[in-house]
Amino acid sequence: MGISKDTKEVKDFAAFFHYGTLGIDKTTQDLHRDINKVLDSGFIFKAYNVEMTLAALAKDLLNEKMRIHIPISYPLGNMTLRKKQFDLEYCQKIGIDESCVCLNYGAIVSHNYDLIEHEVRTLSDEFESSIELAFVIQATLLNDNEIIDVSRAIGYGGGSRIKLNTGYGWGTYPEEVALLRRIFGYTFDLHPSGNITTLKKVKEFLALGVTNIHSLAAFEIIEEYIAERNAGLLREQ
Amino acid sequence: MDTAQKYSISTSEFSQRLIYSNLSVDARVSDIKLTCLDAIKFGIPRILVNAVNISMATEFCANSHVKVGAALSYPIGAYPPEIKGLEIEDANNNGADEIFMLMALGTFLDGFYDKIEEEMNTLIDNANNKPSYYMIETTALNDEQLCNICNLAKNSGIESIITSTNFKQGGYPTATIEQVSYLVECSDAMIDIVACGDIEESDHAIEFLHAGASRICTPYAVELIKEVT
Repeated sequence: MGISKDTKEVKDFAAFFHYGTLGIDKTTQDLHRDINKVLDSGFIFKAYNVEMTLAALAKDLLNEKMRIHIPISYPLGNMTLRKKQFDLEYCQKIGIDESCVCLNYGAIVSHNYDLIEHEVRTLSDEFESSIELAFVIQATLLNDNEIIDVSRAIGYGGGSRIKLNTGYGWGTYPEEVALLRRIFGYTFDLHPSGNITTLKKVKEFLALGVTNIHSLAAFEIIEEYIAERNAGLLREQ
Repeated sequence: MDTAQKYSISTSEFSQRLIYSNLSVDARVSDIKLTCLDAIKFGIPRILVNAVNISMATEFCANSHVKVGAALSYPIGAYPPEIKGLEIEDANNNGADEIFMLMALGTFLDGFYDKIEEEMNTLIDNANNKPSYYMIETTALNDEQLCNICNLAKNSGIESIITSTNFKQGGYPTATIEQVSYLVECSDAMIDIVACGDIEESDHAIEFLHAGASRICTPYAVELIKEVT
């Protein structure tokens, strides 16, 4: 007998994913459609990611069935620290569960890690008790030393979660996750994001101990997982 | 005959109508410094930078003719009006001379025009009488929607509409000459229309001006000036 989307194993697999409604032109109609799809599926994703203007509605529609995740200062952290604070204060006010904050990319590539540490410390001290924060480093645009140094700065600043990319055409490579595992072990919870569209890639991340995968292709990947598992089961029989 | 002469516009007048943008997501200190120094050197009256670079740019442009514009809520725009108001205050505190604020496109597409009016009013109320620009994504919208935006802007007292974000990773293409001309028509001479995008050639820039754009906002401002002189 095969597995289906209702099987516990599949639901557990789905729970690794962040899914959502993201983009500058997303409307309430898009949000209703996407959330209905999620609710109809019966999957409980790790979190539902949504733009700030749609956050309150997403919270209502999901009605505590799933955590809500808001991206801040996308795509490369070119907003001031004050603006990031305003955004997180708003998230706090409407009861958002978690957020990923893009760090100041200009500061990273200028190797101004003190500023990064300050940014992380300020936001962690003020918000971590109420909102789970991940910090986005845009790893694909950095060299190995920069990836290591900015991660170290996040650690010094009190951050414990690193999202590797924003999407927007930039995707995470398993090698980037592997690099951070090699240097820092399991100090950080690592969140790959961007261009994750295949089961093969997801498996590579899971093998590296990742528990949060951001992908708008989550449904397709889950279907691929079911098909692969069922093909395997068929062979076993 | 050079391009500017061909279109009956002097080189100095042409320069005055440029906004030199550096909204690169990966701009470093050296890039912002160069943008500022070039604006000073080539007589460009205003630059536009990301919010995080305002303080730095105002320092580099200190004691010069160059005004520093802040691109706010950029490049996503999907923030509630109350957050946009705080962001404008922050830009004021950081020394911005001019405020460029991106619309909440999804909210507009939803037809929540009261929210759009609210964010337009937020822009006007919080800009402290500084020149302010309402940034839209022209090519995401049809003619009726563009006209609706102009009407909302006229009612709110918006001074200028800027036609595109020119955001490379997920934004929309530069507005066409026809779209700019249409926005000018809808604005009834009550709103300045600023053509924005990868406007790389002076002929193209001058076509926008002839279509009624009041200014050109481009990362190629220096190249345009070199071309017409």
